[in-house]
Amino acid sequence: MDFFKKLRREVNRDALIKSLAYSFAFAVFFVGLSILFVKRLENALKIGYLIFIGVFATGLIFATLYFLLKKTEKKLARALDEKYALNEKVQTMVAFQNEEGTIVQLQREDAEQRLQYLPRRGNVVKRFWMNALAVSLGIGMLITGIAVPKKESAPIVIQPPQIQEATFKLSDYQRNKINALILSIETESALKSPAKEQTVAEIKKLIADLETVTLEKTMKEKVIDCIVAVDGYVDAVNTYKKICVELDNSANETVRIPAVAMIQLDPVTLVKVMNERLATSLTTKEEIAAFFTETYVRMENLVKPKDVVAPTMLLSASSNEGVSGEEEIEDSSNSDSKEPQENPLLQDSLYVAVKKLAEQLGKISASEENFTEEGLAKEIEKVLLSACGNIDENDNVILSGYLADALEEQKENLRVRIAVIDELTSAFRIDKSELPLLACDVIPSVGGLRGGEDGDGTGGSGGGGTIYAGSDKIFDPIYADGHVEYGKVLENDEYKEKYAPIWEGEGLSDELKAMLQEYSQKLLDGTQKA
Amino acid sequence: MENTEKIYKFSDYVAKIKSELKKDVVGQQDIIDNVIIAIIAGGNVLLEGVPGVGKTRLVRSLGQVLSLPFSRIQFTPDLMPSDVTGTNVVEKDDNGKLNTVFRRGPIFANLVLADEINRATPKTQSAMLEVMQEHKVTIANKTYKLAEPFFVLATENPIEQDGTYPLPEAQMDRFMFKLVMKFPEVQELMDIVNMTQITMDETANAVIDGNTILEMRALASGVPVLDDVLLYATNLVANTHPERETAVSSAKKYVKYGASPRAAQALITSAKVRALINGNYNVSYEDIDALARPVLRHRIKINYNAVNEHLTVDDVIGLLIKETRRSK
Repeated sequence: MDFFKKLRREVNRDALIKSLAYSFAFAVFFVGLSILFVKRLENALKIGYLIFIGVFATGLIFATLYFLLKKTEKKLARALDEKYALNEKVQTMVAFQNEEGTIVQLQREDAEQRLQYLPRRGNVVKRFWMNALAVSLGIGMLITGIAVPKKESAPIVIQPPQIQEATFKLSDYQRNKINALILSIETESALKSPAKEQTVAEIKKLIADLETVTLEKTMKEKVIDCIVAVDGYVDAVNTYKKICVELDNSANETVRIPAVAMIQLDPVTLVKVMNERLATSLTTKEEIAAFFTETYVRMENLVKPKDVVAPTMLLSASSNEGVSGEEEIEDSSNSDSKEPQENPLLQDSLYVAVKKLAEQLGKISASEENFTEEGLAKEIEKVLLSACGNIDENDNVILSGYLADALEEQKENLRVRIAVIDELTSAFRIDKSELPLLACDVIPSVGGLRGGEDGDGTGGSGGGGTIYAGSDKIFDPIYADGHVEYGKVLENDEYKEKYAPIWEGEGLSDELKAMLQEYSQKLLDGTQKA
Repeated sequence: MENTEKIYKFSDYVAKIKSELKKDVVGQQDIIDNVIIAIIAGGNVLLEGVPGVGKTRLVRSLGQVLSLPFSRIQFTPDLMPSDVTGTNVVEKDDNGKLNTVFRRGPIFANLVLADEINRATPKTQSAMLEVMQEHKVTIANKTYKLAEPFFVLATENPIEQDGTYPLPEAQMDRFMFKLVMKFPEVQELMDIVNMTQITMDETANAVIDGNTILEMRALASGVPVLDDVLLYATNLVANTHPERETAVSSAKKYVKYGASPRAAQALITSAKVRALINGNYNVSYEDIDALARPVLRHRIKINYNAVNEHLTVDDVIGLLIKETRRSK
């Protein structure tokens, strides 16, 4: 059986080589195909999966082929008998290889002899040409896969969602409403010039523009622009903020009091603050004189910001009595008498009123009469009455003064401005939260704490139940009784220390500072009851 | 002689036997081959053939070639069993004493031609077949063994059916082969005529003796049979049974009843001899296929479907072989 066993070894070696060759050919083919797929197909499997599949399949093919091609003795014997019509000689030889006996021995020898006469197995080329072909095909696919260029996929363009922009068409209702507003402003409102004309023009321009607007977004922009413009006009003619800030910038505390009194444009607040604070602060002629001087200088600063020389008071005889009315006051200290008259502020009623107040108080100080304390107080009271008017115990205005009237004018301007905003936002369905911060809404903080100053403790303007926050108390253990008036919380050193550096630093925007100033001012002054 | 040498000579002996027989028997090569196989395998042969085709001549020549005594028993309806086996007779010896002496019958030969066995009565047939099976004769409680090798070649005349007693299937099973001797071809007939013009006597020479046959028989029994080949042979026999669930379609369609296990034994035993005769040292599928018809044709019964389709038993056996091969 040696020859048979040798033959079997050769056959199995060939089986191994063929299995390896075919599985290698498959592996190479698969790699090439995978490369091709990855390059050309957009949704090809990930390379990891392909590798796994390829390796698994290659292993499976090798094992299967080797299993099929590899011959056991029995399989090989059968194959030989069938192929060469050996009449079961080889099979019998293999089956009885371990048997003894004369005939069995002869049979083995006979079978071996027959095997040796079998035709040779063929040369390598003949035996393996199919394998070579398979490997060539595999390599060919690999080369193809490498050589084929990658498919350039179209860039992925993410189209933004097509937002259907809302359209707009000026309706008759809107047109009529706005025209009514214009008419109202023109004929009924007391909006001060030039704000009135500017406002009317702006709104007319808005209507004209909106006739051609087709998108809601554009409409909103135009309406908001109009509102901002109108607000700007009103803010320009309202001088109270400017005047209050100027007064509030004074080092003289009494001069700052009118700023606090006027900033809210409220006649009741005006009366209360002026009577309760200014009247009680001016107790001597010197103090009144100082008030007059400083106030006058401040007002002059507004119209002539360069160095202003303190006026020499040349008062007419009719003005000694302190009767209200507009009187011309000659200012001999200023040789440039023509320049200030060009400034529109000079014609402003509030400006004039403030100056008049100062002058009237100045007359008291300039008087040669020796007033008693009570007498002085009475004089001051008269002046304040003339300027601010009076209120009853229910905070109802019973008498108006020129200063209060001036404030009322400016308040009326704001009312018109509010009306315009209300009408425009209502007509065009614009939420007020969409409006930017308007100039008129920026209220400067006046009457706030100064560094080194001791607060007079009057955090709130008092006044019973009408002022909130000022006289309300909150718990604070720092204070002796465990409570502190709401408005005085900020006087606490702990807060001063904390917020002063932040305030002076770069971390806060001007807008935020303005908001915080206003807020802290309210804490000090309280807010009016709605 | 070493076994190896004997094995090498096996086919030579057979070739010589054939060669000698050719001198006396023209043609019928298949018959001669199978008869030789049967003799070596230790089986008996049932020969079917018309009269005058050389059945007696064959057996007689065979006896000469094998140096074995030959006897011929012509079976007739009046033939008694004792005519076959022998009987005790009373004889007076020289002293005048009456003694019972067993007179051997014609069965006491190595080669027996039982001519027209189907003409004998079943009783005589069974006596004959029993002897064939047992290789001994028992008369009055005394057993007489027959000489080995013992070979019976029984004949059946297919023409005469009147007054015949066809052998029952169980008895037929005792014959290893059933061979059909055909009428010779014209050329063969011419040769027969020419040959017998010269002499009617058998001219074959002895080439081996009975012991050699026995040795050859022993050698043949050692021929290896592959399990697959054995399985094939047994499947072939099993497939002759239509009642089996796994029977092949041909059996279910054409066979009435199938062969007994003796058929499988006969197949393998005879296949071994055939293999050696052909110079092979193993039994092959080809050996089985070649001996399937002689072994099975008298052991299976075809049904009316086969007759209707003009299929002979040999045709059916051919189908069985095909189907068994396919399912291998």
